Amino acid sequence: MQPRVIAVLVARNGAKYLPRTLAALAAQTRRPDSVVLVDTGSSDESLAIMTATSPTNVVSAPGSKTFGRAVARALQVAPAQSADTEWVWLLGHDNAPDPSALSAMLAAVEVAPSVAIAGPKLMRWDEPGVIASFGETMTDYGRSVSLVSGELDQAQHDMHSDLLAVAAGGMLVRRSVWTTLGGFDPGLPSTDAALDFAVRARLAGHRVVGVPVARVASAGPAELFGRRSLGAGAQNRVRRSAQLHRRMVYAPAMVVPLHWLALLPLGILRSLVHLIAKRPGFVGGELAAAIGAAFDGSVPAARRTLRRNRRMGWGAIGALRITARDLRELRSGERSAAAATGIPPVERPGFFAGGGAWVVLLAAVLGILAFGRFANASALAGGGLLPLSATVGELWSHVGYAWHDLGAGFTGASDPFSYVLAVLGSLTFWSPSFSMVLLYLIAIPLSALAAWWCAARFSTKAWGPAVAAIAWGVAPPLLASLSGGHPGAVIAHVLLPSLVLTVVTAARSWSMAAVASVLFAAVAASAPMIVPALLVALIGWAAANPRGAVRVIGIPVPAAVLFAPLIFDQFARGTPLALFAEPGLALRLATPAVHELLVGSPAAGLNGWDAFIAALGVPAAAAPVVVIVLLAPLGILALLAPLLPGAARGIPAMVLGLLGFVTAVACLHLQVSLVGSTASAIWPGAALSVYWLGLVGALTLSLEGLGRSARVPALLAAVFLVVLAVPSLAASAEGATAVAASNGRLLPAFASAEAASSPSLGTLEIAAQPDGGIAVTVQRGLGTTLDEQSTLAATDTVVTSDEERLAVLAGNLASRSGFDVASELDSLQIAFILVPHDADASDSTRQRLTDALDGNRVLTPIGDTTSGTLWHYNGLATGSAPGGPGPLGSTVGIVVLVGQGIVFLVAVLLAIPTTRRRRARSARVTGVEGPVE
Amino acid sequence: MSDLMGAPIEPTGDEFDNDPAFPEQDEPESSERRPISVRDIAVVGARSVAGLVGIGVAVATIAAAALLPLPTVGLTPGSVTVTPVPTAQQLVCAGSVLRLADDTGEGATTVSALGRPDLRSAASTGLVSTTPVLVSDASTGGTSSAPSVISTPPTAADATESALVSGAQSELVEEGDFVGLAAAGCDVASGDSWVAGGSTAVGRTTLLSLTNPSEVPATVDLELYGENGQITAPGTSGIIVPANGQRVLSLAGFQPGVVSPVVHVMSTGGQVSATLQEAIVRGLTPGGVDIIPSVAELSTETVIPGLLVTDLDAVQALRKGGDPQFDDVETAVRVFAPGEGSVSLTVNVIPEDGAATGTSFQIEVDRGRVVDVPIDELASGSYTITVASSAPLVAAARVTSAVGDVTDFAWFAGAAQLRDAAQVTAAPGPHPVLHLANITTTDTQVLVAARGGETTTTITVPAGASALVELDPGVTYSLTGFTSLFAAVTLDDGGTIAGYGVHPPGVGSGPIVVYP
Repeated sequence: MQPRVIAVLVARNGAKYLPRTLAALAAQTRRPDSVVLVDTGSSDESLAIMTATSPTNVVSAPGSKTFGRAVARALQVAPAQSADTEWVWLLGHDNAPDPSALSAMLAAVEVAPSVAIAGPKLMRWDEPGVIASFGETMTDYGRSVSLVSGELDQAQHDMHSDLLAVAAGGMLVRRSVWTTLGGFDPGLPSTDAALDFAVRARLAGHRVVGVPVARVASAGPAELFGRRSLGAGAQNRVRRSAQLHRRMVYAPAMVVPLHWLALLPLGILRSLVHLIAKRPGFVGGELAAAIGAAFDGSVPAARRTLRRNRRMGWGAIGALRITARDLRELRSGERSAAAATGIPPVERPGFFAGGGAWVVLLAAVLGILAFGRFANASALAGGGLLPLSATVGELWSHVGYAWHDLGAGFTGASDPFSYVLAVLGSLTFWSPSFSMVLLYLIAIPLSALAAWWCAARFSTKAWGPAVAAIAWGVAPPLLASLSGGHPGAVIAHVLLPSLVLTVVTAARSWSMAAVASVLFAAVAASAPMIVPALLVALIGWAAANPRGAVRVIGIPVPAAVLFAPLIFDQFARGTPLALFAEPGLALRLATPAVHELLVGSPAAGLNGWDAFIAALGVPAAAAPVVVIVLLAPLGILALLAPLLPGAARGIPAMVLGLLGFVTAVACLHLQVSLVGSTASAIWPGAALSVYWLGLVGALTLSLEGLGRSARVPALLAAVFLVVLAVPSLAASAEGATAVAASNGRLLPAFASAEAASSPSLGTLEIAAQPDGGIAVTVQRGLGTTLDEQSTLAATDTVVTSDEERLAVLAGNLASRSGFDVASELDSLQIAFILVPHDADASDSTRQRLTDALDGNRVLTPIGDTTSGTLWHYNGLATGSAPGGPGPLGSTVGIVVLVGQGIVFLVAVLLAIPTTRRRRARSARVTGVEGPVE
Repeated sequence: MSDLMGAPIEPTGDEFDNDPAFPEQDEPESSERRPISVRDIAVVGARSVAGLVGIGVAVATIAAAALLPLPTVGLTPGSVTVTPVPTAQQLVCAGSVLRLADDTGEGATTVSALGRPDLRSAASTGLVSTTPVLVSDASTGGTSSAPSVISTPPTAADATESALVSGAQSELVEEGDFVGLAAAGCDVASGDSWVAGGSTAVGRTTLLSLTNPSEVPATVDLELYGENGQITAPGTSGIIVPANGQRVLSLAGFQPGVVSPVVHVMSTGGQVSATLQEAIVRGLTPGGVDIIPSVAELSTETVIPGLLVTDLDAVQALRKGGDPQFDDVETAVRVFAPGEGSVSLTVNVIPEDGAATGTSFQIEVDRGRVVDVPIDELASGSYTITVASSAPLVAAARVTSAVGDVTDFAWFAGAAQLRDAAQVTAAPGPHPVLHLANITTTDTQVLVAARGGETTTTITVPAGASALVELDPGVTYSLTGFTSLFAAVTLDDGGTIAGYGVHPPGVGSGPIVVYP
C-alpha cells in the first residue's frame, strides 16, 4: 500500500527562509499527500508568505509556541489517520529539503517495517556542502550529543543508518507512533525534544534510522528556532534544563529523590567547573537550570507517558549511546579544527636570550646592596611600617567587618589592605612580620622582573624590556616608598606591570581578565588613591576593545566588592574623600613641590640628590641640574614615543603617565589622613608609580620604534637611571632611612611582657602635638599592628562618646588634676601609659605631660624605653576591656566575608589557567552559523 | 616588471626579509630606497601632529599643576578641649637659710638650718594649708625651718575655676658669717628647671636645695655649667629626692672655684623645686646671703624686673681698693645658652622710675659657657633688664647693696610672663615693692587688690616701661585686668636686699586640647 505523508511545516519568524523552503517542498519528486503550514504567532510576514502559497492549508496557532505543540496542533486539523502507513514529515521554516529527500526517506522506511522514525542529513543553510547535524545520541549520563556537526560532507557518515535519535527538523515519523507516544514532551520546549521522542520510540520497540541520501537544509539548532541568536550562557541553560528534565523522567522511581537532592549541589559544583573552564557566562544558566529542574511540574506526566509505552529495557538503547572514548575523540577532532585557525605568534624577546635574566640579576644585586642589612631581621618598623600580627589566625581576624581595637575602639569595615597583609603574612606563616622583610629584599628585582615581562609583550627587540626593567626596578617612587616605609605603595609598584600585562590580554581571555581583576583588587587595596586613574585607563581600554569590553569592565568588580563596606561606612559618615587615604599607619608627611613630583620624588627633595650633593660638598644648586641631566634620556625618549612608529600605543602610555601625575598632585591637595592635630596629605608614591609607568611605557615603545638605533639611547637611559638611584640606594644601605629592623615588639618590653598574659590589657599612648594639644590612643595587648590599622579611624573627624571619655582621661592625666584616674583606668583596663618620642611634638606640652604623669601617685614611672617614656598603673583591678564582634561575630560581618569570599573564589577559579577550554570565546551563535557545542 | 623594462636589477632589501641565515637581521631601513608615497607623508604628518598635541597637553597639564592655585581639601581632626578637674594647688617654699657647718664650725659636710623663715601665704579660695616637708638633709624635717608645701583645694563652688595661691618667705640672718636678708617666693615644682647664680669661689658657699613636694620619690639628674663650660663631676645623676623631702647639695662638692655656675635640674618621678642659696664671706666680713629661684624654661626674651640698685656710691667705694674679693659686688647679668657656637644678645637696661638713665648694648657670647656680663655705673634706682637672644638661654642678674659695713646681695632671675591673673604675696620683710614691667607696645592697666582688703588700686603700666607699687609686708595681693606683664618683688633696708619673681598660676592645670 502506498504510504500517506502529511508534511507539517512550522514557521516562526521565518520569513527569511520560508520562500526557499516552500519552493523546495513544492519541488519534491514525491509530493507529500497533504501539507499543513503552521504559524506559531510570527511577528514578521511568515503568515502572509504561507497564506500566499497555500491559503487553504495554513493553520495559525499563536498559542503553540513550541515546535512539538505546533505539530500536535497541525495534526489535529489534518485529516484523521486513514491508513496504518501514514507518515508525518516534520519541517521547520528553515528546513528546505532536496527534491529527492522525501522519496529517499520513504524508500528507506518502506523496506524496514520496524522503523518508526527516519531522519535526513541536515546541511547548513548557506553551506550546502557542510553537515549541520546527522544523528543524535547521548552519553551514559544522559547528555545529548550531536554525532556530526560542522563537517564537510564527503559521504564519510553515509554508512551510519541506525541511530539513537535524529533532529526534529526533517524528521519523518510514523503517525501512529507519534500519536501513541504523545508527540514531543511538553517539558522539552526546544532542544532534546526529538532526542527524547526517539528514545521513547526506541523503548517502545521501534527503530530510528538516518537516511544520508536525504538532505535537508537547516539554519540552526532546535533551541534557536524562531530566535535570531542565543548567547552561549542561554544555550547552556536550555541544554542543561533539557538534560535535567530528561534525567528526572528517565530515572527509576526510587532514584528520583536522590537525583532531586543532588540537583543544587551538582549545579554549584558544575558552576565551579565552568569557572575553571573560563565560562563565567554559564554559571547563571547552570544554577537556573538546577532550580528550574527542582520545580519542574512536567516530570510526572512525562514519566507516565514513558512508562505507558515502554516495551523494552533501557539496555536496548545502551549500544546506541556514545561511549566516553568516542566522545573524547569527537571533541578532540572539533578542537583541532578550531585551533587550526589561530594567528601565527609574534616573535618576542626571550627572557634568557633577551637579557632579561641579567637585568633582574642586576636589580637583585642592587636590592641586596640597599636592603641586605635587613636579611636577618624578623620584622621592620619605622616610617609607615609596623610589625604584623604574630600569628596567621590573628592576621585574618582583622579583615572584613569587625571590631577594631584602635583608639577607643569601634566596629566598622576593615581596610581592604588588611586582606593584602593577611595574604602576605600567610605566605610566611611561621612569622607573618617577616613577609615585610621579604618584600623589602625582593621588591627591586621583582619589580624589574614584572616590568621586563610586561615590556616584552610590547617589544620585538631586547633593548626595550631590559631598559624598562631597570627603570622600573630603581624607580624613584619605589625607592622612596621603600625608605619611607609605605608598604602599600611598594606592593602597588611591584604589581602594576603585571596588571598592565593582564589587562591588555584580558580583552581576549577570561583567565587573564580574572588574574587582572585579582591584581586590580590588590593594587586598589594597597593604594586606593590611584583607583580613579586606573579606572579611567580601564574604561579607555574597554572602549578600544569593544569585543572584550565585558571582560575589561569586569576587572574592577572584585575590588569594588572588597571596598563596598568601607565605601558604605565612609559615605555614611560623610567623608567620601577619605576613601583615598593611604592604608596603614597614618604619617605626618612633608609635602613635595610639584617640580619634585615631576622628577618622580614622592617625598620632599630631589630623589635624595639634594642631601647627597650637600654631603659631597658640592653647592646645592647643582642638585637640580644633576637630576635633570640624569632624567633627560628617559624624558626625551618618552616624549618621542608619540612621534615614532607605534604612536597608537605611545599616546595611551603618555596619557597613563599624565593620569598618574595628576593623581600625585591631587594627593598633595587631599589632606585626609589625620595624625593627632594635623591633617596630612596622601603619600603620592603609588600615584608617581603610575606616572613612572607611563614614562617607562613610552620609553619602551620609543626604543621599539627606533629599531636598531635604539642601542645608544637605551644604554644611556639605563645607566643614567641607575646613577639617579644611587643616593636613595646609598641612604638605604647606610641605614639613613626611617625604616629599620625591629624585634617585632610594638610596645616597650615591660608592657609587652605584661600584656602577653592578658591580651586585652591596654596601653594608653599620649603624644604631645606640635600645636600644644595631645593625641591619645589605646593599644591593646601587644600593641596595634600594621594589619590592625584602619583608615576609617585615621580619617575620623567626629568624636564619639567613647573617644571623649578617653580624651577626658588623657586630658586629666596630662594635668595636675583631681580626676579619679584610677577608677577610669580600671574600667578601661589600661595598665600602661606611654608618651612616645616625637620630634614634632611641642616640648612644653611634652614636659607638662611627663611632669603630670611623674607626679601622679597612682602611676609608677618605668622610665625611658625605645618607644617612649612609660608609666605603669600597678593597681589595675580585674575587669573586661571594651570589645566587639570579630569578622564572623555579626550578621553584617558574615555577609561581608561570604560575599567577598564568593567573588574572590569566582575570580580565582576563573584565573586558574586552563588553555584547553579557550574555545568558549566563539560564544555567540547566530542564525547563519553552525551549531555550537 | 624590472625584467620586462630591462632596467638593472637593484637590491631592494626584500631578499633579506626572510633570510634564514640572518635571523637577527632587522628589516632594512628602506626609507631612502623606497619612494616616499603621499600616504607615508600623511601618516608621518598625522603622527607628528597627534604626538605634538599630546606633548602639548602633557606640558599644559604639568604647568597648570605647578602654577594654578589648587584648592586643598582636607579633614579637620576631631578634638575635645579637656579642662582638668581642679586639684589642690601646690607651691614649695624654700625653707630656712642653710649652712654647711654648725655653730662651732665643725661638721663641714653636715647641713644645718639657720633659724626659720617668716612665711606668709594666701589663696583665692581662702583655704590654704602649710605643711613642712618630712625629710630633710638639714635634719629639719617636719619643723618650721624645713621647706614648706602650701596648698589650696579646688574651688568648691566652681570646679572649673582654678584657684590662685601664693606665698613668700623672708629671713633676716645675722649669725656668724651669715648676715643678710634672704627672701623667696613659693614656687611650683617642675621636672625640668634651670638655676643661674651662686659661686663656688673662695668665700662663697652655694648650696643646691632640691625639694620634692609630691608623694612619689624623684630621681634628679644635674647638669652643671661654669665659665669654662660643662662641669662633669660624680654624683650629679641619679640623686634620689624622697617623697615629701629635701636634699641639699653643695655645689663646691662637685667642683670648687667655679665663679659662675648654672645648674640644670631634671627630675623624673616626682617633681622638684630647685633653689640655690649663696652666702658670701670676704675675708672675715660677711658679704650677704640670698636664695636664688629657678626658672622653668629657657627663653629668647628674658625679662628681669625689679633690679634694685640701692646705692651706687657705696658699691663703688667697696671696689676702690681693687681687692679681687670685691669683684662680685658689681652689678652683672649671668647668661647661659646651652649648645654649640655662639649667641648674640641684646641687653636693655630700662630704668623703672624714670630718674636714672638706662643703657643698651649688644654682645656675642659662646654657647655652652656661662658668662657674667657686667653692667657698670648704674645709678641708684630700679631697673628692668631685658635680654633678647638668638638662642634660648637662662639669665639672672646680681646686685649688691651696701650701707657702711653692711653689704648684702640679691639675685634676680628672669620672671615668667603673667597672662591674665596672678597673685603675689609680699614677703614679711622691710619695704616690699612690687615691680610691674610691661614690655609690650601698648599701655596696660593692672588692678591690684589686697586679699581681704576692700580697695582696688588701678595701676597703669606704660608701654615698654614699668610701674612700682608699694606693698604691705606679709599681705597677699591679686593682680588682674592685664594681658601681659612681668613682675617681681624687692625688699631692702639699710644695706640688706632681697627679691623674688611673681609666678603665674601653674600651667599644669590649664585646659588642654585632646585629639582622640
